[in-house]
Amino acid sequence: MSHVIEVEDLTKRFGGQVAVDDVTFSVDEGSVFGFLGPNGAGKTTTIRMVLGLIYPDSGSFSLLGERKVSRLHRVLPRVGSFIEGPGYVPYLSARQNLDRFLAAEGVRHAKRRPLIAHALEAVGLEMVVDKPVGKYSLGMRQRLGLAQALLGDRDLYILDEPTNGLDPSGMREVRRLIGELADLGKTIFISTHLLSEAEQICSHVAFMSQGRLIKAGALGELRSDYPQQLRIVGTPLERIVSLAGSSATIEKSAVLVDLDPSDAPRLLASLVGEGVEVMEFSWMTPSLEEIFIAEVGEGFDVR
Amino acid sequence: MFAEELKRVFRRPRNIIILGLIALVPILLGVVVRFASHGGPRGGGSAFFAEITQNAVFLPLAALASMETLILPLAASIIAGDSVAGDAANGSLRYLLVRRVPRSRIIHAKMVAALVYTLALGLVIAIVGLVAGAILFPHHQVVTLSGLSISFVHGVLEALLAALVVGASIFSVTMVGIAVSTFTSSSLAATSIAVTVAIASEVLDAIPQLEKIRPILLSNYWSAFINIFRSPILAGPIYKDLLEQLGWMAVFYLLAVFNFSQRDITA
Repeated sequence: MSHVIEVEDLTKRFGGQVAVDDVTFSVDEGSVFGFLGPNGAGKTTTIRMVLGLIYPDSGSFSLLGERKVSRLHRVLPRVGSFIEGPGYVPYLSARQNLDRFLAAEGVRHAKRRPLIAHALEAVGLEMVVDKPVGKYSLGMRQRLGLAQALLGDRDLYILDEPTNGLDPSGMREVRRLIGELADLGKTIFISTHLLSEAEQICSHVAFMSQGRLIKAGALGELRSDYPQQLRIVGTPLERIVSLAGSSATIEKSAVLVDLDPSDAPRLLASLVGEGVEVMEFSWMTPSLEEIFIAEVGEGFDVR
Repeated sequence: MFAEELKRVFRRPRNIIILGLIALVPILLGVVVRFASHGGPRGGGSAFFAEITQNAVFLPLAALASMETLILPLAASIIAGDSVAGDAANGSLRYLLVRRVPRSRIIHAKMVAALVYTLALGLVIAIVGLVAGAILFPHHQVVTLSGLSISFVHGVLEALLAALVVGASIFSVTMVGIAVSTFTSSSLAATSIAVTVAIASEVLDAIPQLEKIRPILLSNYWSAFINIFRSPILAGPIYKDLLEQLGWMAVFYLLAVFNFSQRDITA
């Protein structure tokens, strides 16, 4: 599988402050890659470097196979991006703003109108296309920013905090949009500090903290690195604890046990054999938030 | 990109209002001179002020002369200061850049749009002034500053040429504003610095002890357009004015292009 983004030893300082520190990772084609970390972790700076907005101090990267910043314009038409909020001229309408971007990109006039209509419809702004964007609500502006990213058919979508400022239904819509793009085989690189959101849509994740990449990989593989816990609900609880071994603990009317999966059938048989009434016997997978905290530590803006 | 940038500048309500307010100046000036003064102004005032009642052509020229020292540099600075900083602040600059628009094309498009607007400032004064002058004052043969008569049409063409020269005389201020605008996301800061440079130049220009540095001050030849109304046109000061503007523009053009090509876009 080819990599649509490859980042190697990328470093950026602003003044004396290190914003991105020796970061290396790659994004597989067709994946939904969650770039996760608290605010100020260096996510946006990394994204801006990959898109040619910020020049790295050291290290290298490639975007859709292009390694030279001066030649990024060759591949940028294949990338739709949303970077740290929407960008718009407030006294122009949504249509005029999007038209400005497409015109700058060299898209012919006749082609622009349907592309704009399609993008605005995808984010639910088709009824306010001619209203000056300065009069939009925060959520509408965010939607306009997403419409800008969705203009045209792209191979890669780089979305930096796309759900900021959206209400729950708006966030749900964005997740649906991302799902649809992923189903079409597009690669999605999404940066967020909302771990629950990432858990619902990402196939791969990378954790950033204080400018450094802490861990990256397929979500399933990351989960398998952690001991799985068996959750047993039944009565009497004390009998379950005594039969399950020393690692068993009682939590919220259930017994949690650290166990090798191959030992589970034998434990279940012994519980039943001893007359325990078992009502639930299931494996608990660690949540993304639990993995994140285990890798990065607590004390950040983790939600 | 160039057409889009011109649209951005000329669609902005604030920029249209500035053009509208500037257009009011020759109208007000004409009305005041026509109705509020008895027998016309006598001496004093800016260039061409005393001649306003003689011919319609002198109204736009008097307006240009009175606005060239502060109002026009201020208006040009507002547009120039907003050119890059405005788009950086509203976030659209980054989206233009990630849509494969080369940085050099963006900065050149912004320069062209700001310079066209600067020229438009002069032309608006000339056109509105000529129309108001034709309504309020005689419009027959024009007596030039050399005492010779030229046709009214010839006078109108010279007034339009004067407007273009005045507009071009402000180009240096516009380019200073654009250059500063590449360093900041604050349009106000870039505008303030460009206006300060223009005013500082005029202050230094007025100090007799600094006569030796006058030729390099950007405002030194701002009144050169007056020489269009000599017969024949005295071109020397106008060429010097335009040459000086080119010099200042070259310095700040290079600064703007270099900084914009190197700058990290963090806004």
